[in-house]
Amino acid sequence: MMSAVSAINPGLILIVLGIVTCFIPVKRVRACLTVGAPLLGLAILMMADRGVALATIPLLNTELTLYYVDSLNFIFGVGFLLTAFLYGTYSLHSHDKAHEGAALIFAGSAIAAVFSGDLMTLFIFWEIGTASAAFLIFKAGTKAAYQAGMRFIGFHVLSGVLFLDGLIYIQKKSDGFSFAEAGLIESFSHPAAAYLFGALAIKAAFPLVHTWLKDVTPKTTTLGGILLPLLTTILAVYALARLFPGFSALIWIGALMAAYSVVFAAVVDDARRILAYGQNALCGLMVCAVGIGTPLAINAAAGLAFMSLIVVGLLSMSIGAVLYSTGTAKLTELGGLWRTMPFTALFAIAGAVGLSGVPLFIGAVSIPMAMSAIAQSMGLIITCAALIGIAGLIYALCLRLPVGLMFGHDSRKRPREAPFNMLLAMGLSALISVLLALPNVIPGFGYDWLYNLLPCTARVSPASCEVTGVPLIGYEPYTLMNVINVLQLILGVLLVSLVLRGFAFRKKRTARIILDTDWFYRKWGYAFAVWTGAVWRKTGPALSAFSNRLSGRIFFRLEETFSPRGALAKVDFNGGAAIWSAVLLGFVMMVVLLSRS
Amino acid sequence: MSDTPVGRDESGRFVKADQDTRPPDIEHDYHPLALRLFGWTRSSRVLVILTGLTLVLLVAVIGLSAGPRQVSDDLRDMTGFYAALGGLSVFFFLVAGFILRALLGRNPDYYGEAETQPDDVEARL
Repeated sequence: MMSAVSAINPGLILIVLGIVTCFIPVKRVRACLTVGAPLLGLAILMMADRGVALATIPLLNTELTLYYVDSLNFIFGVGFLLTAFLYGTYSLHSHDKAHEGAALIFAGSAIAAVFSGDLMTLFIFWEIGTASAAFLIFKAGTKAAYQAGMRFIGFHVLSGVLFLDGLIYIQKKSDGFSFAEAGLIESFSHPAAAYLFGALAIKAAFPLVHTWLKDVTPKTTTLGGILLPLLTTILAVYALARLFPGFSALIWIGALMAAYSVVFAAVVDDARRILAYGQNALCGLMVCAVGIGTPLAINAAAGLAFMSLIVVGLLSMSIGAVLYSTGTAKLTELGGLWRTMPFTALFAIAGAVGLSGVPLFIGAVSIPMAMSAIAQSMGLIITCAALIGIAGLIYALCLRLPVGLMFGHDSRKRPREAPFNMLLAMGLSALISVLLALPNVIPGFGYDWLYNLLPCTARVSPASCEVTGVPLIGYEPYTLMNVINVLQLILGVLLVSLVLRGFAFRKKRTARIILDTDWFYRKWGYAFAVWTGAVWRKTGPALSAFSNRLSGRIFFRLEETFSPRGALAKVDFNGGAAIWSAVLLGFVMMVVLLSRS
Repeated sequence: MSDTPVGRDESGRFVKADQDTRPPDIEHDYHPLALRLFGWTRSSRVLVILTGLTLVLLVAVIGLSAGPRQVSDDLRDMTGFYAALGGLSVFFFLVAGFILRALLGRNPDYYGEAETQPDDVEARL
């Protein structure tokens, strides 16, 4: 019995219970399901054996692995389940059963995708996730949300099609969809690699295709804005770590992502958009680490992903609480909320401190690892780009967000404190952030627990990284140099922003949006589509009539020649028709022969 | 962009600034815990004190890292490199922010999507 239970993909449990939740009218039962399902999933995950296919189903000529656990997907799965649990607690005040169900299905599909043992299963769960995510966006009920949702679907359908194309190439090459077969891809010269990379580029919000992330995050529901950006992008980072570890192109792309996104995070007005750009920059650091591909770098990517789920989740929960209470998340309309929302302010500060890398918060055990991994393997340019990304995160997410929302200019808004369940979820996140950063005085507790989850940890047998196959070296986060380097960065950012913000850049700003690369398709692309439509409306009837006349004339000529009443049938020597048929048949056969050879 | 100077109407006459229509700041409206936790942030000197404190801490941290070390050509081993990069980054973000706002800043309704308040906020429930 226990072995049968331990062979169920935890994500499937969330998906099934999410579907059930949509139909349960009793709020308390729904609350039990949304909080209990992730905990049940965690319990099942702890029982799972690693490195073996735990559940498989046959499909056509191949076999799909529904549940597979190894050291790489374990930490992502634990992080996703914890996020789903915290989100479940955070949304307990909700009365919308369809929304609660969709959120559970979305989280479940991300978890199921992480534990997929092959690419086809990953693809299927990914698409379920896209559909439920679109539902979360549409549930916001505004015109802006509807339009952003349609753009989101467009991006992710394109990503799905590219992924499927890649799968077809892999299937053609190796008669299967397993990750081992995908591992045969060693360079982008293989079409499968190019297609899969393109698909993951959209999902991970690489530069130029990142706009869906900053587009949908501020427009989705208050609750959906927490899960959607986190799970979608981090699932893509997991897939990159699975399929493309050590691909050098990722280093430059990741560094560019980090440096580019923080510039926008430092200037946009909407707090949820700041968070979206910040998450994009964090994903850039993870992508850069995946591209480096050393055991330390893979660990850093996984550590950053886990940290992001906890502390970026905490920050987005505090923004969600403000949005819930005030109805807006625009910094120009907010400020001074500490007066009536002190707990939310406290948790926002905890999230900011946790992300910045201050010792004894989770950032202090993840960010120095990323800095070390990049500095050890890369040159000055990449290191500086990554450090600018981290400095930007500290400035935009750790200073600008909490100060803009909670302190600074008094907006004279006096909203009520967030509901208790929201505060509880934020408190739990803050507690996890601290507990996972405590020095390992007792083995197995503090950051030791987190490091034991990392994919390339020396504490897991065998003593070489499962992802890279390279021997492992232990990592100590609280060395003097690590702490000093991070503190220097934080204090440097803090000092200059205090001086410049306090004395030079004090002017109160008006609300503005900043155009991004989506302008090209939202303005030019839309204008082109409108122009094409107008041209077709004017010339369409004439063109249709011309093509109808042309095809009618061709058909008439053919009929006049070849039909039983045609010219060839009327000649005395009917063998002419036979000769013509033979010539045509010969021509067709030649074409077929040449095209096949 | 309007050419009308700040504080004048379109004919050039001086006009009174709009009255502050926001509700008055009454401490009784505050959460009981708020003043104890964050009341100190209302002081006008807080910015100066924080700046001074940060400067002292930064000097101390850089001083700690400036001990004897191997001679290296790598810029990353320079004393205070991380602090300098952090500070320069913020300067860059603020300058880039000004430029971006000037060049690419638009009205919030530029795409016809100014209204983004979702249905699940307290005021709508």
